[in-house]
Amino acid sequence: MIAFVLIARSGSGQSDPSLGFLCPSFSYNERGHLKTSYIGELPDRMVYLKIDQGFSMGRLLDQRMSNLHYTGPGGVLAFGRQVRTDRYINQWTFAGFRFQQSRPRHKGTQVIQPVGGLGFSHLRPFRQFGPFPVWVGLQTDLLANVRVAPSLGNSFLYADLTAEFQPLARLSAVPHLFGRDWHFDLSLSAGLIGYALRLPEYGSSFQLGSDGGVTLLTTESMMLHPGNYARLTGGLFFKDSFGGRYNPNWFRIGYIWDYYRIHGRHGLSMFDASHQFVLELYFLMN
Amino acid sequence: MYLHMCCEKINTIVNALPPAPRRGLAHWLILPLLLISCEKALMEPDAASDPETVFEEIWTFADRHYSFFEEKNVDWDALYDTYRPRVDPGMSPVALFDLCAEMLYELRDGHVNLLSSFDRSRYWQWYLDEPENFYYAVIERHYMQNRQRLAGPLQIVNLGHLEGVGDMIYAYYGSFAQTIGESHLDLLIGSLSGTAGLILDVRNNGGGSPENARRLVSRFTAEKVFVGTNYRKTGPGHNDFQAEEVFIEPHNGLVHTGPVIVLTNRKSYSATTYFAQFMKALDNVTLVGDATGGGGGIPAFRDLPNGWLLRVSSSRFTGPGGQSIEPGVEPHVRVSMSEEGILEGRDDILEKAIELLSGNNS
Repeated sequence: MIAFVLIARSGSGQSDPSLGFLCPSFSYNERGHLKTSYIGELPDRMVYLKIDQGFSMGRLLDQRMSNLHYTGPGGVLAFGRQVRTDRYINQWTFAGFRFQQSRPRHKGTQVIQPVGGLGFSHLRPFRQFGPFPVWVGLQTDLLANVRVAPSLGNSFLYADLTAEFQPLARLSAVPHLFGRDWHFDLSLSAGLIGYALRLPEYGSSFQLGSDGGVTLLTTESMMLHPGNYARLTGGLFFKDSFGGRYNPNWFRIGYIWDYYRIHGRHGLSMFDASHQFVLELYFLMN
Repeated sequence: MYLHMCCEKINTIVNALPPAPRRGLAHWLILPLLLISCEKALMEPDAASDPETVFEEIWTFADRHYSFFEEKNVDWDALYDTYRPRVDPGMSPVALFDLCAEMLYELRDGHVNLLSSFDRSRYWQWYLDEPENFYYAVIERHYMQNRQRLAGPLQIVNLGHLEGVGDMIYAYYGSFAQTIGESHLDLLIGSLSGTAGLILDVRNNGGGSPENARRLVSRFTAEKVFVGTNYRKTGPGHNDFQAEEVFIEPHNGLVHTGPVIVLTNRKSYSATTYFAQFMKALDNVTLVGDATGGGGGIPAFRDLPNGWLLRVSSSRFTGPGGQSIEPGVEPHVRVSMSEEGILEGRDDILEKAIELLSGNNS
């Protein structure tokens, strides 16, 4: 998966997409990169363990299940590894989970929605637009979005397994407000193309198998493209160090809005949106 | 409308901010707010719960998923024309329920139900119009006499303790919703050694998981057997089916290929009808009693806007000869229980099975 990632920075007029927010004052080395009393001692290739946790509010509409909107709270947990240098940022999300419990307006049924996935992104500086450096990257996502509705008997299970390409844009800004610098990231991404395996193919999720027993394997596969698929993800983050000017570990507090839609066959579509409030922790490992 | 509201909201926020360049930055920062505000605009609307919408949902879901329109010669469009004008926007939930139940009743299908907090619509004529043909007390008091082993869902007893009856095993399986384990089946098959055979009673077994039926059938064949064809709905058209042949593989452990008699009645329904059809495909099996109740379609469910649930049959199954199992599986030997027999504590269907097995023994 390939993604184009734009990372820009405003405020100081100089670029530092990664660790500028940690610095009490800005100065730059002969390579044009940020240099402070302690950053100069950090390795050129920094490896971070990334841990995300938070809570969410979701809205689900799966027309194979009903024409109802299911809403409810949930939790978010993800583990990743990030490598940062002057020339690139690599990030593995090797385990990401969201767990949602939702009910429709009539409250009579409950949908348990575990969502899991993994992903990889690779970012490189591309060009500079005024004060904003543009970064270009690669990204791939594998996502399993499962809906379990126990009260629906044989129609209790629905799932989408998707692999997709996502262009991504990110802007970093450092407004000076209330006597200090505030470090923000704004990111936007959109699905471009992918592949989906959907369960069930039609009707009930539980079927009679060719061996006379039970099977859940009546899947339908489809290519995902802008004509039948849309995914939008927006995030706004505030970031800072853990405290102390020599602490290389940092965090981001953010809000993520994630939406996806698959126009399925026979006019039976799937919509899923979640509002996630997350705390991302970054621990330097080298 | 949502988009218009979103734009107004964004403009209000932006106008409240200080002048550029901060406002330029603010445009970026409030972009997520735009996305949040437009969320509902990006989705199909939440379904209303008024009587007309609920009726339409019920009719449409059945239209797209029900699997026996042609087999039962039901004109679903004509039923819409009959019942839709009777839907009144101000009608009570009970009145709406009764109207929808009346329409669904026309499908004559025990797997079609409308479930609400105050009632469950049903079609039960498949057994109410037929003799009961099973009284558990007769079996318990006069045949098992508290000598049975309780092996999981199975009640297993050797009928050799009855006067004039040789060694033969009677096993009762009351519900395929109760999981049967391989150890239970090993016990059953192991107990058949040196006996005339097995009487497997699935009367009043209302169904459950076909997985349990498959496990049981696999113990009575030594070779792979074609038992029928499953037709799974693959689209909204009344004839959008995909056919798949169903074979039962023999169990790789203990199996019994000797005589087996399966007892059925009209309350042998759903997965039990599948079981009866699977067993009927085996050469060593004889079905005795009444026809099964049918229920040859795996149900699909729908969550309705007012909190009710709807289920309808969404597949078909035919035996090796192409006959549908929806009306029920015919036994090889039709027997009914007589009133005097019941009063005397005699089960005529079981007696017939004993007679058949005793004949094999002699």
